[in-house]
Amino acid sequence: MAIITISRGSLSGGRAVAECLGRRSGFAVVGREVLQEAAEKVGISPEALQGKFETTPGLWARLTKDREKYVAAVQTALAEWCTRGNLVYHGLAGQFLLREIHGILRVQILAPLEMRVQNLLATHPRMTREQVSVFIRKVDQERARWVRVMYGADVMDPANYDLTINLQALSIESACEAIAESASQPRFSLTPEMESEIFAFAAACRRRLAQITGG
Amino acid sequence: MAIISISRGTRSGGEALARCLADRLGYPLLGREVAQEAAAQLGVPAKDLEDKMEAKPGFFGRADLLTRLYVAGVRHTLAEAALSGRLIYHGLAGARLLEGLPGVIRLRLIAPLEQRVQTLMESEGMDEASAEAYIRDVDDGRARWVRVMYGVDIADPTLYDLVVNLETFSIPEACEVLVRLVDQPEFVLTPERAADLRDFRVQCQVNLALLEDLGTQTLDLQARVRRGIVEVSGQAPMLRTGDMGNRITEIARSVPGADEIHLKLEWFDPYP
Repeated sequence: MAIITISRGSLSGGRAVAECLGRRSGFAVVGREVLQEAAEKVGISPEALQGKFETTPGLWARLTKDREKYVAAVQTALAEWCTRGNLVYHGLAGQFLLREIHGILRVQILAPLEMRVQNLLATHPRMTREQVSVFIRKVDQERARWVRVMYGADVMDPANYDLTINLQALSIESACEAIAESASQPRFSLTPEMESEIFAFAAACRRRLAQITGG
Repeated sequence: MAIISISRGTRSGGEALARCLADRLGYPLLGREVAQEAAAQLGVPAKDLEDKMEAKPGFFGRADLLTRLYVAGVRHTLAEAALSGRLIYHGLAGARLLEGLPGVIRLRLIAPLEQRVQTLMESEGMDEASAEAYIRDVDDGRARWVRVMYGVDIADPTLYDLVVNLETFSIPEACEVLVRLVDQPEFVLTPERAADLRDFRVQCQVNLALLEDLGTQTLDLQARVRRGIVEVSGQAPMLRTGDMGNRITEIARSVPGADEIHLKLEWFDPYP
């Protein structure tokens, strides 16, 4: 039993892998919900909050109170999910937002661009191939830039994850199985120590958010 | 039932994981010996072949004919070993050498430099600076070799199916994850996959034969095989005698399992 973060490019199948883990191991699965809850905490729309996460902060805006507030809100919402026990989070930057907690299984899911283009075309038949491909690259670049500016890290670097799985040849089920087996290793199990670390982290997140929004 | 190729920087724990997998799965294990076997088949000293395989190509170097011949020899040896669909390979460039073959798990192991330096210091009694210099030197050599031979970055995670970070995972834990993965339905050795493995062996052997023949070795020909049908593509000189096509066909046909030969050659005039 564990807490798992799944980082992925848009339409890479990360959500399907997360849902498979939810079915297989009974973990709670969250993605966008975290963003919605965070948005409620700071009184803006989830779309506006997502925008704050996916557009690059300007050089001077990096440490503004504004941005700090939005990150703190998402971090708090995510930490609260973690306090409820076994969890798979398939939203943005999980491995960075929760990096103060030890024992989290950090997974990256990769998929070839062509596969992602097909995924998006299947749900948006009115878009052209060209548009779809440009869109995916743009979102990737913006997320990568966001992580670089906020955390000084390369979102694609496998050293930031415990496990990187490429869906080019492996099926969703196989990826799911490999992650479940990893999560069952004792080093990722939710021990009482880890639980108290999570509760302390969630409390610290709430305090920080209260400080920022109150001040 | 799978073929697992393990790519890793030196002293990352690749050999220990390979041994653990071979023990748990009962698969044959192949590492550096592949070079010895290939050398024996080619009738060259193993040392020559290993040196060529591990030598750092010059910065602007293109792989020379001898290197290509040796790589084809190694690939052919590997294809023979992979025929049963069960193999653990932890030698150089497995992901590239086994390219195009289904049922292969291309695994990359990563570990922080400090961890690897520590391992080397403990095992060889080296001081920190020389251990680090040694690791960087071997890593750079392998990376450059893969870049020159295949034009790719050895550390690019998209070249692998699975990247396991040994900063977190222990070798026995990584081993468990792989054992579980191999059990997945997509790795069942179906008649289809067995036929793919036979095609791959024929393909590797035809390519090797084309590089061994003095008449065809400089032509940069590529053979592809599908269910025993060999298709050879590339550029070939239009000789007045007209026998280059016959020669290529004859070489390909000499390989057991090559049932039919199709030439898709672009002919050029060698006497313009």
